Amino acid sequence: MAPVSAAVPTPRIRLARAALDAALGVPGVTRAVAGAGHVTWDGQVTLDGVLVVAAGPDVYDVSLRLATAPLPLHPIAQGVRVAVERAAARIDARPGRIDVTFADLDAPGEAGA
Amino acid sequence: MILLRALLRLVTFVLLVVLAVAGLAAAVFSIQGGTGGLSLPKLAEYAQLPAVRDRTGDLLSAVEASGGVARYSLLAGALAVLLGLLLLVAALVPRRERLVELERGDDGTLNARRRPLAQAARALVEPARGVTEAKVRARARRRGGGTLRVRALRTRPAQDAAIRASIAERLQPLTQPFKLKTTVRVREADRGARVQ
Repeated sequence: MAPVSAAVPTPRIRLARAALDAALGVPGVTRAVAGAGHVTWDGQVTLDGVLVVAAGPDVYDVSLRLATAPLPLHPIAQGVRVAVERAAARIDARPGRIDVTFADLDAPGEAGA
Repeated sequence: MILLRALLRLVTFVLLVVLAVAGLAAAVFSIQGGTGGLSLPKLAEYAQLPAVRDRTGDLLSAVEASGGVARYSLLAGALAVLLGLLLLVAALVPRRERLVELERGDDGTLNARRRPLAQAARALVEPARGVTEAKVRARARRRGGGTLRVRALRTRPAQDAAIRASIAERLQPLTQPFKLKTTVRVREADRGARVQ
């Protein structure tokens, strides 16, 4: 059996990266927020604000903690879910549940305050 | 656990103040040597340490002997250990994040921390006409959803009912899609308050 290398991302890590990138691309999302276990080590860097957990054979639950601009939260949440599903499809991953937590609110034009 | 954390904060604050005062006193009374002025023996004299030593000596003798003092001391010691352990638990057990569950479905849940949710609500409420200041608190309900408690101050010409309606309307983008209830309290701002 070949040894597992940290340089080769596992499906879980690939989904974490894809989900985080997709979420951060949604208008209104300003940044990801670490905390409550939402930190994923991808072998090179830590991915703050995302947690991916195996939920079954090749299925992974995704949980994201995000900061947003002061905009209506419902459309942002819908946008995040759609973006994550599309990103998962691009890497042939199957997300199970997609949980979104609004962890912080940033002033307009501000991120990381 | 909330009470324990509050007690921990209080104990920590008191201990830090005591430590700071003791450190300051020790530093000031280290300026001079000998036994007079700003010397450590003088500080011990001010603090009546010799008298305390004598009294403690009596107490320690009573604790060593069998009797009521020994029993009470044992009980107090056990309680102190128990309190210390509880404070350690309060300090070391990670605080559970309090979230307001906005939406739950088969495809996942949508949650918000209380502070950003309250901030979002406040951002919606404050531009309401006639409102000089608004404070919003978000609380989670046990069975999902939450409550936004709005306390608004209004200018004198504005009417409470109109302000309440305006606030409810402004909160709709937040309350309508989610399981959020609102309670709004309006009162007239003090004379001299300015519109923010």
